[in-house]
Amino acid sequence: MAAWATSLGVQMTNSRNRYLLLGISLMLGGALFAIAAYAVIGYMPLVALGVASVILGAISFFLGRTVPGVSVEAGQALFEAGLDNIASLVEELGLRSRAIYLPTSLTNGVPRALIPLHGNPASPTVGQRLEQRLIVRFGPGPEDRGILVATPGSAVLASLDLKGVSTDTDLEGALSAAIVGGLDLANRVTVLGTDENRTVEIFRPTLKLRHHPVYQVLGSPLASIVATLTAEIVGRPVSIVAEEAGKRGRHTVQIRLYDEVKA
Amino acid sequence: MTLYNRYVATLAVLFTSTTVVLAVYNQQRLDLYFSLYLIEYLASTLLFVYLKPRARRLLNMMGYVLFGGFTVVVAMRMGQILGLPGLR
Repeated sequence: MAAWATSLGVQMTNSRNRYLLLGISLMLGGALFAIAAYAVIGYMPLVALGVASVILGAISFFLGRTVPGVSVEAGQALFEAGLDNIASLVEELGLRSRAIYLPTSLTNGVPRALIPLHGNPASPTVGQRLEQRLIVRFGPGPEDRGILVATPGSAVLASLDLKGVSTDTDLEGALSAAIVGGLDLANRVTVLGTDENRTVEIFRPTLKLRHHPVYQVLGSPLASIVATLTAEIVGRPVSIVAEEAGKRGRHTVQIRLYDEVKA
Repeated sequence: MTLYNRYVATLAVLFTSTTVVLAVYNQQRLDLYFSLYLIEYLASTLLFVYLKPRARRLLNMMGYVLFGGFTVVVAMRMGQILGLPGLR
């Protein structure tokens, strides 16, 4: 157990240390190289190369200070444990409906996904703010009950600053900032379509996870992040219609936006 | 390749290419190298729009420091042109 914890601890700090170590090495090595090149042979291109190394080292050092302490591998291990718990719940309740991702305006400030207990309604009418409970009533009908669960996207949304991103014209930029910049999970994100149905293309995703049964309900982690962010930005419930891992590292997620609802 | 790796690799390639090209033309002026490094740094940082806000803040600080160095280089060059003592 202790060995496992130590190994995990080393993994958690590895990626961060890589940039810091590289930065310190380049700064020290570059400075020594530049001084030696100037003092011994007085050849300016080599001195300039030393200066370039110092600049690169400083950049790497600064970047290392912004890398989170958790490595991708450790994050995946923790993440899959969380998914297993949700999968057990979904399986036990026999749920087959697609989750509906709700904006925080409908969930008392905490991003959640609603999994209807009795199949997907054509157009969910969430008439009030949902309580922070596991089983909630989301409409007037007797079958309008579902469970509220946290999703991978919920955790991501909490760590992002979406101030100033309020219209869906910013959607592509916001998704790119979150998936490419904030999480570093892909190279590029594009959004196609303007009305109820949108297609989000994610290029070269780096998150490689084994297929999980709960993906049929919640969608893959990438799709979940896309749906959560979209719901929050446009202020409307969103569900994942389909997703496909295409050729050349292109992951396509089709989402549907439901009508705007007033809480 | 992660975003940070791409950013660092891009700068490494640009700096090395600049050094090699200027060395081929036998340039011995350190201020010229430094000025080009600064331009490449600023352009690359601008093009990598999706860097994290904290990383961007730190890199902006770094840009100020480099720009300060550039200002010193320019001041020294102006001093040389104006023939100030000690800068010849």
